[in-house]
Amino acid sequence: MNNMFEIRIHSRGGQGAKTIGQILAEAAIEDGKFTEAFAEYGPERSGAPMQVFVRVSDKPILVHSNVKNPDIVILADSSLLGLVDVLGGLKSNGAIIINTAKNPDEIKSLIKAKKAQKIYSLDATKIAVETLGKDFSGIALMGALNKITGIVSKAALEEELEEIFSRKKGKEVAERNILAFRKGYESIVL
Amino acid sequence: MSSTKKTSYRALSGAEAAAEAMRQINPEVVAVYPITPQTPIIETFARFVANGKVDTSLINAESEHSAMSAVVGASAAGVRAMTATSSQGLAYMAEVCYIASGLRLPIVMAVVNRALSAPLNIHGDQSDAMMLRDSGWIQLFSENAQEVYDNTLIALRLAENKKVLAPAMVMQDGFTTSHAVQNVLTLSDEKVKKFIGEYKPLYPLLDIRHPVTYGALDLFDYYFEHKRQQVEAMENALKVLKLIDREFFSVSGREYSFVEEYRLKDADIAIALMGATAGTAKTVVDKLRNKRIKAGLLKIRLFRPFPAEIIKRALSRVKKLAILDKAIAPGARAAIANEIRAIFAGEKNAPKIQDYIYGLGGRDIGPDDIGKVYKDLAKAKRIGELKKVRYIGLRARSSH
Repeated sequence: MNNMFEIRIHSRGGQGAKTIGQILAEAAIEDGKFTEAFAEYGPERSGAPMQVFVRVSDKPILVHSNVKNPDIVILADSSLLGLVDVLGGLKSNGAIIINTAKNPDEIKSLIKAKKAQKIYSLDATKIAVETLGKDFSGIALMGALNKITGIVSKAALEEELEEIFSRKKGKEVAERNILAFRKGYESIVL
Repeated sequence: MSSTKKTSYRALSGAEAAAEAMRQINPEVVAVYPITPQTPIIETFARFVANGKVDTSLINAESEHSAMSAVVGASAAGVRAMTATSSQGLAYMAEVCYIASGLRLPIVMAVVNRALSAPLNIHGDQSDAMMLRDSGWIQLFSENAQEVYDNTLIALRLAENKKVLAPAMVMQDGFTTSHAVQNVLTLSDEKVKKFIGEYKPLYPLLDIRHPVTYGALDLFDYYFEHKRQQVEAMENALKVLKLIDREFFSVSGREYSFVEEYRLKDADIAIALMGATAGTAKTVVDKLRNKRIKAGLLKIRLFRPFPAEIIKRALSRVKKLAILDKAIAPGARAAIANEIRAIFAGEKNAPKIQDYIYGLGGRDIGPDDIGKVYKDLAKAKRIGELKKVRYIGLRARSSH
């Protein structure tokens, strides 16, 4: 399992977490890597807590169980804080990306991260509402993720965004999603 | 696809992989009824139909019973006919599944394994497939989306072979495989077309110059002989599949056998199971091997017909074996445990066997759980220390 990078996303149904999983997987393959992306569904309904798992590796991926020890956790909905164990199993040098309007210091006091675990935050909902007109915050979070780890290349991600949204919703929507992605990317200061 | 692409892999879920194989097979008739987690197969395939990518007549039946009945009718009429289902859908089809196999119709069905109600559960286990293990259908299990794709093409050839003529189910784990996007290599449409060949039905009902009857009354005079012929068909399937697997290897470069023996040759302790968990178990075997623990894995791909001889040979040197079933049989041993134990009945040098049940209703099973199974095996000195059955990841006192 060397070189395996694992991501866990905590979200609510309808916020785009499953779409991020799909785009990350397709872009990873574009990059010539191996991947697996899947969601853990409870009862499938909008607003219910859900998890998405993504693995990226240079070698074929054999393990098919849930991601227990992620390198990165994405908390797509901060209202889940306290409801789900967002830090559970996070690698001791891992990172968490949080979608919140709160300032970074306030967030740090709320999350009991280990010393070497990094906390990043951005207002992905605001970016989504401004660019897409709805709380589809996943795309901006994917931008943030890409700034923090280049495990999947920016070029491949933007290409997939273009391809998937052009096909499904048209060119204009694709452009707005790429804008959301870039705004998410830029909002992270390393 | 795009110009920057560095590989020929495609990002497909297990469900999409099944639908892609179906697109390339281009069956004349597909009759279905939606059910989670099978639905993305038929959603994807219906898009192919709507976009004119296939010539298939798609029948949206009012139930799975009707879907299978329509496919039986189409297959008897003399065309390729396919369907897909899960769980309750398969249960509802069961009656007609026996008709399909009894009439010797080479129907191929994608089965996305899901727990059976009650309690109501949409997630993956193999109870649905086990319910129909004696129905006269060929049953192939897949570890990942790649195997779903490959097995679907291979199953079609196997089912249609005139020495076999038995319907086939191609299994994949609900959600774990059906809804997971993975790297998949597909063959070109031309290659698939050549591999599956043109369908030439032996006794098409619609060939009115050579009239035949399907489904005639068959009492104590011949019924017994006809059922015996199904046994023969399955015996033949073992020989025929070997040849088709070899041919598929020459077309795709991907090698399959009835079972996969993963680091099993010199293994002292081993696990036998089927489906997606085989992949997870391989990662555990690799870790144990790095620690010089002689662990191995037997992945069963072909469950019906059951390749007893091959499995016996594969496990003959193993000292301690854990058999993992993802289906439960209240009041009896689970299916795989039953089969493998029967192979070694009365054998002096049989492996010591411990049965396990895991993953019911989609309960997650990770490397740690599997690591514990190998640890249990390594620890057990005498057969008396092995419990009748153990449950992996089960809550509370009954776990041991």
